[in-house]
Amino acid sequence: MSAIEPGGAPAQPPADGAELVYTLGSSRRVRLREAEAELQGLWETASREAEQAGHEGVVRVREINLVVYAAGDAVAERVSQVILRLAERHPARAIVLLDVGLPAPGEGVTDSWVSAACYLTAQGERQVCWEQVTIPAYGKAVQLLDTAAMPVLVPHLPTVLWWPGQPDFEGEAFRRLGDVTDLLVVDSAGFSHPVEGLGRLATVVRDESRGYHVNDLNWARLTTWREMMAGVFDDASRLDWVPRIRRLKVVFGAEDTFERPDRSTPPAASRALLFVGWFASRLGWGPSTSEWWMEGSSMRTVLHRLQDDQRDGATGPDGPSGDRYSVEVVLQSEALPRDASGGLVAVEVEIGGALGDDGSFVLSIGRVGTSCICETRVKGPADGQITHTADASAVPEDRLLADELDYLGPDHVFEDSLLIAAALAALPGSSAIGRET
Amino acid sequence: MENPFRAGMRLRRVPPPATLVILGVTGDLARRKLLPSLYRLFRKGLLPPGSAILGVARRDWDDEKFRNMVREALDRFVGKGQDERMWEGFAAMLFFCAGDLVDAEAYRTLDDTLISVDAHGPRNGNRLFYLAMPPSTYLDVIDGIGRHGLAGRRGAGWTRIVVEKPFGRDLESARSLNRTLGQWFSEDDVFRIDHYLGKETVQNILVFRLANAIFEPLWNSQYVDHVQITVAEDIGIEQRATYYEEAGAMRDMIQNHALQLLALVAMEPPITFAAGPVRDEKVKALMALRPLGGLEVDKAVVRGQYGPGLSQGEAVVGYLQEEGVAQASTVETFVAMRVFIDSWRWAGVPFYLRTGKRLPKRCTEVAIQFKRPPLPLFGEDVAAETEANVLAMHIQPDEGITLKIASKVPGPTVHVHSVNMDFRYGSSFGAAADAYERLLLDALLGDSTLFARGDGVEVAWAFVDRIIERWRHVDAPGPRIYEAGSWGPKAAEDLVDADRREWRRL
Repeated sequence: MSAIEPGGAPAQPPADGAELVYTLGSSRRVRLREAEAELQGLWETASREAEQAGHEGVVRVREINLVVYAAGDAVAERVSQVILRLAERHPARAIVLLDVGLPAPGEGVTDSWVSAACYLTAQGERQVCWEQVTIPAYGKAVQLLDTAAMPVLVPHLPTVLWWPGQPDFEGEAFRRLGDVTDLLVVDSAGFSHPVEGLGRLATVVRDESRGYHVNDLNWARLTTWREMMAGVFDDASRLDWVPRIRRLKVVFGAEDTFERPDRSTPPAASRALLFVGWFASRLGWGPSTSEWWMEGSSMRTVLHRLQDDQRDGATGPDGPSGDRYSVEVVLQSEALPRDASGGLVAVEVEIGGALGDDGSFVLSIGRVGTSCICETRVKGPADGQITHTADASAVPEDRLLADELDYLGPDHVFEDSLLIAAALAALPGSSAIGRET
Repeated sequence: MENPFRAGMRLRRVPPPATLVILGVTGDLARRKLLPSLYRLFRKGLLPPGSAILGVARRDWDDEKFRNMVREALDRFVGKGQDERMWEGFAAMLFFCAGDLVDAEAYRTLDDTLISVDAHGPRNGNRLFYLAMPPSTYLDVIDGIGRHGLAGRRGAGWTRIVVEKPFGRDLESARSLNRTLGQWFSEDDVFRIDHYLGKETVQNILVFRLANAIFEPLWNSQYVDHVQITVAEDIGIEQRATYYEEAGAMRDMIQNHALQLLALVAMEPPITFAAGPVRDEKVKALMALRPLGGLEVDKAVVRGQYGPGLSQGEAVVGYLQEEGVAQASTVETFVAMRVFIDSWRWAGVPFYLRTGKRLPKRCTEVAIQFKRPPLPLFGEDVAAETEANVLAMHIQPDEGITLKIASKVPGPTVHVHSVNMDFRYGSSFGAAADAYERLLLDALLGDSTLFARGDGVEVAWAFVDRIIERWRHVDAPGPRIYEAGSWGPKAAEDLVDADRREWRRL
C-alpha cells in the first residue's frame, strides 16, 4: 500500500475557501463487505455529535454514484481532491476504484477505505456531507472492478463513471463497468494518444448497444470558444456569411500539462480537432477523402460543404483548392506561456465577398496577447470591427466535471462533433498534427 | 434561418443584441442591482456582442464619468479585483445620456443618443427601457417615451419596457399606469418586475408541485389544513419614510410579494409552461380570493406598527420616532391576515399571510401544513406528540425546501419524533443566480413568465383596496403596537389561535 491512504479524508478547503471541511473520523480500512456498515456508523456518530452541539443534525446528500477509475495512487489522490470540491455542487457517493498495478497477492478485491466529510457553514453547522469508498484492486482483479463497485452503489441513483486518462476501450474492466453506468465521462486531453484516441472514443459513441451516454471534459473546455463563435451569428444579418466561408484556421497551444506516454502530440491538438468537428457538424460539412498535408508551419486538409452540395443552385465561391464546395481547414500549434494554460489560442474564419469578389474578410476569436481573455473581431470591409470579450481561462477539473454532471442526458452536439473530429484524425497525415513546430 | 451554432448549446439562452436604456441610472437600484447583474451576465457571455447599456440621468456626465461610476458600483457590489480586460469589454458597452426627463428636450437628446449608440453595433433596433426611477414619475416618463416616438418598433427590432414595483398605489392609479403603458406598448412588451419572482425557490414552487407526481394529488382542501406565507424583515424603514408613509405594509408587501406567492401556490396547473398560460392561471387564483371588506376586515386582518425595542440585540426606535414619520401616523408596518380562495381546490382552506418590519429575522417562506392522520393509530399520547406534516419552501435568506415527517424513535416503545428532510439550493446545486440577473435576461429574451401582468396587478389592488378602505373608517381599530424584534402584536397570535392553529416559529 502506498504511504498515502487512498481516498484519505480530505484536508483542504474547497477552491474558493468559502467554507471549511469537517472530516467524520479518519479514513478507515475495512473489509469491502463492511463498507456500508462503516459508513452508517460514521453518520450515526456525526448525527449524535451534531445533536449534542445543538445543531439540526447532518444532511447526508447523494445525488449520484460517482465511480472513478484511478490508475495508481497519484491519480487516486488527485481525484479525491476533485471529489472534495465537486461535493459543493454535486455531493455524491464516490467510489474510487484504484488500479494498484501490482501483481495480485491472491486475495482479489476485498478491502476498502471509507471516509466521509461535511462542509461547515460559517456558524459551524455541517451543511452538506458526502462519502467516499476507495477500493484497491491488484492484478487480474482489476478486470472485475464492477463486481467490487456494485455492492456499494446507492440504489436508484444515476451512476457516473469518470475515467481520467485513456481507458482501455477494448478491455474487460471498461466493458464491464459500462454495464453499470449511465454516463461515462472521459478527458480526451489526457489520453495517451490524444489524436488517435478520438477515433477510439468515437467507436464507443457509434456503438448503439451501449447503455450509457458519453461526455468529454476536453470538449467541455471548448464551451467559451463555442459561445463566442455562436455569439457572432446571433445577429441574423451575419448568417449570410456562412455559405461564403472559405477557410477555418485553429491555432492551439503546443505545451503539455498531462503525464502520459506520448508527449510528442499536445493535448490541445485533439481539442482543436473537436472544435473543427463542432464547426463542421453545425454547418453540415463533412470530411472529404483528402488527407492532411503540411504547408509552412501548419497542417491542412479540406472539408466538403455537404449541405451546399444538396442544395439546388448553390452559389458558393470557389474554395482555395478550386472546388467551390470545399473549405480549407488549417491547424497550427503555437508555444504559449505557462500561465495561458494550454488550449486554443485563436480561431480564424475567412469569409469571401458577397459576390465572389475580393471583399473577403476574417472573423477572428483570439487571446489578447498571452492572456486568458479572448476577443472577437471582424476585420475587413464587410462590417465594422466588433469586439466581444470573454474569459477563456483554464477551468479547474472539478468545475468542468460539475458542469457535465448538471445534465446527465445525451449530448448529441458533442457526439456529432466527435464523429467528424475522429474522421479527420483518421485521415492520412494526421499523425503529424501538433508536431509541426 | 436560426443560428446553427446555437443548436444544442445546453441550458443557454442568449438574447439578441439590444440597447438597454436605464432611466435613473445613478440611483440606488441601478448601482446595487442592475449594473452588477448586467456585468455578471456579460461575464457569463449572456450579453452578446453588439449589446449596449445607455444610462440616463440628470447629472452632467459624459460616457467616461458614467463608466467611472459603474466601476465603483462593481467594486462595491460585485467585488474588487475584476479582470481588467473583462472590465474593458464591459466598459465599451456603456454610454451615458444627460437629461432631466421632465423636460421634452431630454427625450430628443435621448433619441439622438440612441441613434448614435445604435450606429456603433448591430442591434437590429432592439431596445429595452428600464424605469429605475421614483414611481411618481412613471406616468410622465412612459408618456414622454411614447410621445417622442421612442416606444415604436424599428424594422424587425423590438422595444420593451421594464417597470419596477409598486405598480400604482391603488386600483385607480394601477389602471391609469396600465392605460398609459397600453397606449404606447403592447402588453407583451411590458415587463412588471417583482424581484421575488426571479428567486429560484419561487420558480421551484411550480416545478415542485407539477414535476413531482406525489405532491399535486395532495395539493387541495382534502389534504391541506392551511397555508402560511411569511415575508418578514428585521430592518425598519431605513431612510424611506416618505415612501413608507404613503405605502405601508399592505401596499409594500401584501399587494405584490405575498399575493404573488399565494397565486403560485394556489393556481391550477397551466396548459403549458409559457408566459400566457402561467399568468392566466395566476390571475384566476387571485380572482378567486374571497373579498374582505367592512367589518370582516376587523376579524380577518391585523395591522400593527413597531414600537421601540431590540433588533438583533441593538436598541432601535419605534416607527413613530423614525425620521420623517408623522407624529400620529397610523401607517401599518405589520399585517397578518386570514384569507380564503373560493375555488373547488381550496374551499375552506385558510391562507394565513403575515409581513412586517422589525421582526426578529429576515425570512420569507411558504409553508403548506397538511392535515393530521385520520386515526390516532399509535395512541392518543403519540398523536399528541406528533406534529403535522409541513412542506416549507424557504425563499430567503437560504433558498430551499423542507419536508417535516414523523418517524419512530428507536426503542421498545412507540415514540414519534418529527424530522426535517432538507433540501438547500446552496448545498445541492451551488449558488443560485441573483433574481435581477434572471429577470433582466428574461426581459431581453422577451419571456414574461416571471413578470406580473396588468390584469393580475389590478385584481390584487382591488383586493387590498377594500381592506385599506375599511382602515380609513373612523371606527376601524388602529394599528396595534408591537415591540421591535418581536413577531408582531398579540392580536396576530389571536387571529390564528381562534382557528386552533399557530404561526410557525421561524
